[in-house]
Amino acid sequence: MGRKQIIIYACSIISILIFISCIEQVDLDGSLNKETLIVDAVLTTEFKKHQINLSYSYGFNNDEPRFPQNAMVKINDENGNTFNFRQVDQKGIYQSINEFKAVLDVSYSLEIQIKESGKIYRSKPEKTSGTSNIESINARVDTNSLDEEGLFLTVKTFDSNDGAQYFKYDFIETYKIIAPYWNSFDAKITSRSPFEFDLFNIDATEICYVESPLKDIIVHDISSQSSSNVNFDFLFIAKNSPKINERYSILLKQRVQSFNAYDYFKALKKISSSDDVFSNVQTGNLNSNIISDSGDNVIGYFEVSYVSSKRVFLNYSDFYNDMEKNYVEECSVIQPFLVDPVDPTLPSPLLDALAGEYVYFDSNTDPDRPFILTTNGCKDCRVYGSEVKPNFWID
Amino acid sequence: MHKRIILIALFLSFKLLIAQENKKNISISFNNATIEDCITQIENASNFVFYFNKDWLNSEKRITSNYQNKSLNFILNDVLKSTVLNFYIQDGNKVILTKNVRILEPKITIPSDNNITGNDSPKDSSDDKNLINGYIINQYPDDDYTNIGKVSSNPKKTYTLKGYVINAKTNAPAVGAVVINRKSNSVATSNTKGYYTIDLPFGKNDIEIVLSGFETSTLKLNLLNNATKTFSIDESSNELDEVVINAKAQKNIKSTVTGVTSLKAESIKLIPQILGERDLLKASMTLPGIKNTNEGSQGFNVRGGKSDQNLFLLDNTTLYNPSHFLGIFSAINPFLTQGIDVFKGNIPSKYGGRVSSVFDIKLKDSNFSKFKGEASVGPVTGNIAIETPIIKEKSGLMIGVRSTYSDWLLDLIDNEKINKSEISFYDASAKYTHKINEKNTLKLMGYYSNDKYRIATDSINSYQNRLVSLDWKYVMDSKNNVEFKLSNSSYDFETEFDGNEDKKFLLKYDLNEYNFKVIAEKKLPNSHKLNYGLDAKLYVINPGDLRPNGSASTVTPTSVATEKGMENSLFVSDNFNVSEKLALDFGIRYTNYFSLGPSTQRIYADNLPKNESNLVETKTFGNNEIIDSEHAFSGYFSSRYNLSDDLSVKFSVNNSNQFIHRLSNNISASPIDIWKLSDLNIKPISALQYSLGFYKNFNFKSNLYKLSVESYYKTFDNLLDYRTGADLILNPALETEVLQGEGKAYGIEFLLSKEQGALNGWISYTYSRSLLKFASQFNQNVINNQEYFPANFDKPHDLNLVLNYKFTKRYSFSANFSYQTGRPITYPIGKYDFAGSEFLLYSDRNKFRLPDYYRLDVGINIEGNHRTKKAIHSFWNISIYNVLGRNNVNAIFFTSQDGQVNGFKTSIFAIPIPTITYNLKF
Repeated sequence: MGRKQIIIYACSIISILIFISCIEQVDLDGSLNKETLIVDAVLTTEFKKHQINLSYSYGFNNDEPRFPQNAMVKINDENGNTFNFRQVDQKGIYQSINEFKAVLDVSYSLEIQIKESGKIYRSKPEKTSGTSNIESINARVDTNSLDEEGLFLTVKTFDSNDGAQYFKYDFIETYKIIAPYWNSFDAKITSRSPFEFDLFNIDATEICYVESPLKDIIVHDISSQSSSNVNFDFLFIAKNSPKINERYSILLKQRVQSFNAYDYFKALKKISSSDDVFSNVQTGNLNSNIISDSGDNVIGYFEVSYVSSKRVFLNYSDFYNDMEKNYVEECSVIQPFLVDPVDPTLPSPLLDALAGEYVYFDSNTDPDRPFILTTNGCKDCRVYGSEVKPNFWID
Repeated sequence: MHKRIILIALFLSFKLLIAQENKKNISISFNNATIEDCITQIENASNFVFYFNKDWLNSEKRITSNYQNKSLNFILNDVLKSTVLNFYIQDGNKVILTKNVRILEPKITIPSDNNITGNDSPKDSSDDKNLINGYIINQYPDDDYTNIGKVSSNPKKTYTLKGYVINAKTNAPAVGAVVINRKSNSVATSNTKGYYTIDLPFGKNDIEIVLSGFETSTLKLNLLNNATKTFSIDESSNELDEVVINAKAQKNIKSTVTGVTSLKAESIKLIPQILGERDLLKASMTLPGIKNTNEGSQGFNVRGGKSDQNLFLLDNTTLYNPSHFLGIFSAINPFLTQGIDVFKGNIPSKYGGRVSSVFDIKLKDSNFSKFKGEASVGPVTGNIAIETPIIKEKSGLMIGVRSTYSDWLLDLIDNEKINKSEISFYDASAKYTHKINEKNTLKLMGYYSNDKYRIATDSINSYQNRLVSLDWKYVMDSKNNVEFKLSNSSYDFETEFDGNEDKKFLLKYDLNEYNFKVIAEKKLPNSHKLNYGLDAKLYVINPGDLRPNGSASTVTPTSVATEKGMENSLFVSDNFNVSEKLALDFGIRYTNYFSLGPSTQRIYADNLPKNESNLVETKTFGNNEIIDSEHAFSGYFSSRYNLSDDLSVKFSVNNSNQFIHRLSNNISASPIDIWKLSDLNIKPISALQYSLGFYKNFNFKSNLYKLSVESYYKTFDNLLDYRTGADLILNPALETEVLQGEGKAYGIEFLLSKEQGALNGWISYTYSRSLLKFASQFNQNVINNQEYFPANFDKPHDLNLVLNYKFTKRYSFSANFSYQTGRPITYPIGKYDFAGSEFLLYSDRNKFRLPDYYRLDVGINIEGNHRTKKAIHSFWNISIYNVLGRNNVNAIFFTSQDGQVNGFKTSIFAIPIPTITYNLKF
């Protein structure tokens, strides 16, 4: 048996042993969906018009959920006060008619009546579970478990003396990007031979602001630690991430959760990210604190929380000395020939590129290759963000 | 055997003379000499040359004697008088010693007129082939009859055979055993000491030993003189649906206990198995009522029980993880194993601690008289086992080692993913058996298994079992015997994370069980057989110890406090034959369980879910302080009634308790699951089972078939399940992740087997359900609206066919077909948007099922040359696992990352897997 044969034999055995060949993607059946009410309702200690989102679950083949229309939504407190909500758009958003805020240690419960079915959904009474205020958000350069260099963002809170132990974090990141091949001119070829073109002004933008909401669940628990303050790495930004290309800002919102609310989100996170073949976590729907009078399942958790938030700004240059900045996409320029130098009968490489994903960046001195081209996203940052500077932005 | 050929050749080639009486007399004296010494002395003192096989000489026999001027005949007759040896003097100076063979000289010694007449004459009973040139050699070399007694030159018509009948398992005297030769109508019964004496005709005798509750055994003896013989007989009461080729026809009808399955190691060697590994535990799954959750997954589900509800005993010592490589192979070396009894219905009182089954795996005892060995080479493992006497006829040692050698293969492969993988395992067992005397036997057993695996990740997992036991068996008298057993079983696993320097850690878990057991057996008049004793266990568990690995690691050391518990039981049971038709077997086991300190226990508010928010206080308990104590009675009752000679009905009921739980939030068990003792917050599991069965033997076209139909209904209390997404490792408050609910299981099991003939095998079919219910007034402790739902391993239809066809003595073909309903899964049925992300909407728990499972394996077995005198017997097994290439889905899992939902299915062994294994016995 030659070495090659040995290896083939070995490969087949080993592949059997470690099952690497045995994972296949399956199609998800779109017709199984059983429309279930989804309730996203958090009452906070902020004085404002609170918002509750209602929607239905939807099949794998659908792009959008259906939303309950004209539902009766209200929050009752233990003192007999009722705060009514009304629908503000077709997308299931309901807003309190009046501004109000959750009072510490007062119980609130949510009640929803769906108009079309008449079904009533009620939450168990919930109240705040302590207070905690963010003291600082700090960043430090470090490597993560995948050996990538980057910034760890750490949230610290002041000591809390009223039993706040479970936290959920939400944030919105905003970052400034600068298009590397920005040019406010575009070119239109008017004649190929002789080669002629018109330059004209366009409103391509060099500096934009990208807003990126969190698409993950971040919860944290300090019940097992001796101190009563949070000191938690909540986010890692890789060094090569475009987020930290120039200037970066994050608005972090911390809400103090009850154990049950924390537990709900922790489990939701766990079942949504189980991709390990060897540890099949028991999946299923989580039990909500909102109960239907008809025994239907409900997804979501009605929470009453103390909220504190903080915004910070960071710059690439505050942490790194080199200038290996990364734009949202990898940018480069090309200079195609107007006429193919080998076989002139072939289509023009320049026109081909312009018909494709390339745009005019600049004119060239070489008459055979008259244009320097780049991609649209590298020329105009509005492909990725908005040119409007957010009003909170401080340069 | 070799010697015999030489001897015969000797006779044929020499000019055969009628031996002359040697006139030359010898004077010689022996002083405490062995027979061999005597022979040497005679050779030195004369010109006689002796030819003999040294193995025949009993080295313990000493002779002190003085002969003055005696003939060699006289001296040898005297020296050899108490042995089975005969001698023959040829050519005047060649002395040939023979065993059970007397070379007769026809003219002189063929008895013709005196006391032997008629058809019973020994002359007639010996075949012509034993006549060589007029010399009769009274040996039957090619038939199954064993010579017994010293050959006399003048055989009588009848001789007396006497001795003891003993229980092969316990060595206790078998009282009332009938020793019978049906042909000659000779019958005797063993007395209270197991002693019997029977007169039998000279020559071939077919002797049966019959005793109720024991297998009837048949022995073929060639009785040559008065002789002593001890018969060992095997108990049959525990063996019900024995599917072994040699199973005794009536056993399934006559035994009392329901739901017992036995497999003998030898009988499974023809079943084609994955990668050629002969595997008793896997083979047991071809029998009704025993399943696993996934192909190749660890753990067994017996009659609707969870995989932690089975007690695996290796020579009566608990084995916590009987699997290698995540469950694909079993960790029991087939060469050392005698067989396995699976109690899935009634669990006799001497066993306890698990609610669903007992897998009683028995190791062989080493051969006391000769060196034996067995070895095999397969694609994944090599295996060798040897047996060797230490003190001849008194003690022996058996050692077996099995190991993978796949690592060198891994090294050959130039693939990063594979290079990062590592799979290896080995196990070693040793057993020393010492028969001190007729009454006392000592056994010392050690077992070690080790597994190490890393599957394209940064963490290496390893786990090991370590077992040591010392067993002393004392046979008091014919009615009483007692066995003392001291053992320690430990199981531990380790996860070593090998990523970044600062993240390196070592996570350890270990469990130790110390056990002292006394099992006594007492026979009472009126066919009562009592079994009683005590079983004391101490558990010490280190549930988790996380340490930084390496100086650069910044991992914070964490450790969860040790758990300790004691489980002490007293038991008594009685096996009682009420009448010919009715037999009863019943027993009771009382268990006192203590959860012991040092410990910190969390006390939760009464009647509220056990979670952090309902924590009232934490209580600290000192060392060995009793945290919680539980008293539990478990009992069993079973009865058998013979409706006719070949039809019986059995009914049984039993309950059982379990104080230790394996926690796993995987669908199937995994080697790094932790065992947890019951404590203040986690209650013991209990189960109750009723079963009813019918057993029928019948002949169809002159073949014997056995059919059994058993049904059961079982309920469980305090079954454990886990909240969705539970976190079990290093969790000091495990009870917050655990739900305890109720379960029920029921089923009907059919088994039809044919054990003889060219085509043999069995068909088993089971219809069964296993359902769980988690109800609570608190919504977070509810699963599926407080209604019964199928357990992960609920697979209603289960069909297995094992067939073996023998073309010739050497070639056979075997096939194994298996069909099962797909296991239940929780399926995503839709998606929803929530808190800014997209999530999956799931069905009720276990509402959907995986596709049905089926698999066909085929194999060809080639036995080496069958001649018995060959020193080495070889056996080739060529098999194809999953010959249909069925892509059986093992699991479906889903990911929803960044709003994208993907489903994946995994399967193991999705292609036909050919294997060649070479086995040899020496």
